[in-house]
Amino acid sequence: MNIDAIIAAFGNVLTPVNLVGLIFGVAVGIVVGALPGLSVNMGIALLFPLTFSFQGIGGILMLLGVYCGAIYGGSISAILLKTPGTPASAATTIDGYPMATKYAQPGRALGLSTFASTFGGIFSAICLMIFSPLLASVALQFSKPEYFALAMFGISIITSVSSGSVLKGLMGGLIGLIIATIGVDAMSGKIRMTFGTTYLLSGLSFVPVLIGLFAFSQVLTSIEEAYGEEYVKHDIKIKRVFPTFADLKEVIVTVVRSSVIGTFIGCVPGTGGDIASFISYDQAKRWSRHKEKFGDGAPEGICAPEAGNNSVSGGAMIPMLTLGIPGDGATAIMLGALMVQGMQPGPLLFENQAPQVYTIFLGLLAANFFMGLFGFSLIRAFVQVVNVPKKYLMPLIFVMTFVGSYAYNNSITDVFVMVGFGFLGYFLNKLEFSMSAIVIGIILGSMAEANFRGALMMSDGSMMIFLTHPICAVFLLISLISLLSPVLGPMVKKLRGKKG
Amino acid sequence: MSNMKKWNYIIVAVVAAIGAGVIALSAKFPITLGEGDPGPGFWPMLLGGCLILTAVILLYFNIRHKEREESKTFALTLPGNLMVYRFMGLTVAFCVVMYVLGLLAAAFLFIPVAMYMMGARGKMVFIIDVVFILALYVIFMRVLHTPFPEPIWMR
Amino acid sequence: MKLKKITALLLSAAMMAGMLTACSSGGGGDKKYPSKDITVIIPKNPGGGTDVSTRGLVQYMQNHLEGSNFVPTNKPDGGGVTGMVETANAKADGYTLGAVTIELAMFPHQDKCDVTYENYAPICAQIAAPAALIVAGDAPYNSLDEFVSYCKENPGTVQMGNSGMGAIWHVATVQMEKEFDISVKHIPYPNGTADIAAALTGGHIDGTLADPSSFVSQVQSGTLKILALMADERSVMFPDVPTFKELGYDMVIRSWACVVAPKDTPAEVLEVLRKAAEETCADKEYQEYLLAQGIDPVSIIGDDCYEMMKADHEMFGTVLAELDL
Repeated sequence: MNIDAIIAAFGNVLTPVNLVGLIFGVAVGIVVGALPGLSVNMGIALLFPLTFSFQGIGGILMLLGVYCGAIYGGSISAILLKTPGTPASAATTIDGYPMATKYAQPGRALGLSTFASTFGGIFSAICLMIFSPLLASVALQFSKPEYFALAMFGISIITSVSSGSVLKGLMGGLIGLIIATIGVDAMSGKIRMTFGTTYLLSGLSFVPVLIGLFAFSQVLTSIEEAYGEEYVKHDIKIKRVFPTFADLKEVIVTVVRSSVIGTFIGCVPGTGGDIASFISYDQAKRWSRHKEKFGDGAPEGICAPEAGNNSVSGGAMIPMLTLGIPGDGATAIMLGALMVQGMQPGPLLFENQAPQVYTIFLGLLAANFFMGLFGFSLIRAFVQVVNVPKKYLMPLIFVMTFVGSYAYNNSITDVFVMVGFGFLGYFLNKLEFSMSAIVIGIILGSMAEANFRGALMMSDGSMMIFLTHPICAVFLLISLISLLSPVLGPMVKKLRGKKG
Repeated sequence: MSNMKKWNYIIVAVVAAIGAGVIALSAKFPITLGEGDPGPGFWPMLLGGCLILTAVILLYFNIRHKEREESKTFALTLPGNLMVYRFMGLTVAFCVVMYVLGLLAAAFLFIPVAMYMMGARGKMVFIIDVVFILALYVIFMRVLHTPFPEPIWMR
Repeated sequence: MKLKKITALLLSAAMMAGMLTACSSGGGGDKKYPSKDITVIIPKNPGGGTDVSTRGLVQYMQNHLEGSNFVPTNKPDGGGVTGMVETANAKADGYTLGAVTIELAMFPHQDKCDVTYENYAPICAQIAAPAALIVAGDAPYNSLDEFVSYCKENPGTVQMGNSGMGAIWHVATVQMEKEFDISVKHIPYPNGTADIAAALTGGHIDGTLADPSSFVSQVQSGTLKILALMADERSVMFPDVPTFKELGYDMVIRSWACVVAPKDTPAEVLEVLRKAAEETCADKEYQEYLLAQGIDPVSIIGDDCYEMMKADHEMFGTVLAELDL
């Protein structure tokens, strides 16, 4: 326990300029996160030049604020508009939106999500402080077989996330996986399914597809629902923003479990909040005593993905600080920022630059704290969005989807892709397809395939490699059970019924 | 009113076609590239095959549970739907106008039209339009330096 | 009533479009170059080596070119091809520049890209990262020759990571196989060099030939070590590491990125930009900025840059054809 370093760290964080920067970062982060199309990485990249105006490590504190704020911000539009502000909040739409609209409890939904996000963030910050070396060494065990197994585990969740028909969910997932194969195949250098276009060389851009399937199709659906509807002003008096004791009791186990999942996934390099949120959601549903409520406003269904995605923040910083290897895209940018400030993340960091390390720890805690503060205090304001008449709101969101899909890569083709998937999503929703299933396929497709083939390359074609790596074998077994459970479950029940 | 049973047949056909298409497009890749890698054709073909399998299973379920699927109805031609189709047309028009005039000008035109179509009238429409576009301009172009698609004469 | 409203709407839209054109130009009354914002198209995602070095270069260039304001824009579509093509086709008035990467020398031979170095007038190269032979810190070999003998004794089992089959580091490894008559196993890590660093640190692969900037902290702490560099001269960051050339093997493979202007940009404009770039490359602060990120500062301006692009284009033409990539 390096007391001098800790005291120096407090000094750093509490310097007025730095503190203001941190709070500013959190605020910007929440806004960036809430707007669909503006991603966490974009927010950090945009504020990165500003860090040069700060003395020493102050700029990094601002980036930490953006990081935490943006992951949380995505839940606001996910809950109020069924439009995830960031990919990591896609799972929050499943239960957040019904609770906000169908059950007219937007305040409760936002309160639960803010609580879960703050808890997850602080939990992962504490893990970062105490367990970094241990978790980092576990993360280093991950090689191609393990990544493949993790991807398969993520894919097996498709069956649980499909709120409509499980079979159609599988279809959607498979289509998502196929979409992920478009482009240059990195394992062989060959070009697949690009139909000769340059645009498709790097595949279909993920974020425009997400915005189309979720946000744009939702705009169309809302327009349909709003037709001929009488404008009803919901009298939403928010008595309290913090979740009730009853709610807390119901969700606390889920929140802790999801925080563990998110921290762990965060510290595995190359995986991020989107995977963590879906896996947390799936696990919450699996272990819940109220499984049926999932998909229809279950409190656990909101808390799980939000705790999962925010706990990635601390998790991803573990390999970044201890090994110099970023845990996700955002930490990759932050790594650059740290290096410019003269910090050398990696094995020597804790020895040589303890004050800076503790500053980052404190900064992360503070960022989560302010994020929660902002979140809770603004719930009353956010909730009024539900009362804005759709005829005014929908055209604005419509324009925002265009803004968001263009801002992602400065590409007009992305915008057209977004529109195409938006039209498609509108019809697919009616036909009982699950948008989340498609999105999971797209996110995990390349991870699954590349690591499957990579593992076989390492083993010279022997499939045994998947069984001889223990972590891999375990994940694969869980995935198999997970995938087959909707089928096995009823069968097991029937068998039991017959015997009894 | 349309029912699910009819559309399930359509889904089966489309999905099976996609699956077959993917297999066809990937068949020209070698299946093994040496060094243990099963090749770039392996995975897509596997996926295509699974897709066809799910289509077949859906077909089976659709026939087996005729009545249940038939009872699932949803609207495709109600006035609400027609409004959506009009908006889809409006979207295409918006894309064209955006390509020619740039995003901000197109949005400036689009917002009042869209609101009008949804039944909004009055001064409020123009106020929101101007404020919103101004906000977009200031925040994105000036503060964040993320450009929008520009009018065609600027390219 | 309705007609009036529509006319009003159209007039305002036209006004708006006009306003936007004027505003984006940034008041171009003064004729001296530069008199308005200069767009720099970066064909890669934010945060990577190309993005960081390009943004750094143009930011510091602003100090050496009066009245300039560079606006970097990321366009990573199509593997970077879309961005590079856009730069080539842009108006050649000096207000649109772009970055091109080593892929420009490789893609045309792989039918992935229609433009080549001939479509551009280069300003300067902001990064030219050499392939570094990096292995585990506790590996039994401590020099290039020891590594090569180890490979000869264990043919086909030494696992070398790269960033994708057919991409630059894979090509570098294959060239090395040919030069030393060894055979190794190529393991691609399509998500980039950070994954290779993780795999190497975790002991899942034996080595890699890659840009050293992602490995700086591990090398400095001893977890990993660099055996040799495929460069013309020793690196400032790793002065103890010999180059392949010094050890007697003429292998120089670098992943470069250059800031370029469209081919027909007027000579006076190019002159101004190149001069500013040259001053920037000599600027101590700029060099420190690059070093902090693990990037070796280079100063390759104008015609030298053109020669480098041309040489690499021809080199890859032969190499890729031989390797059937």
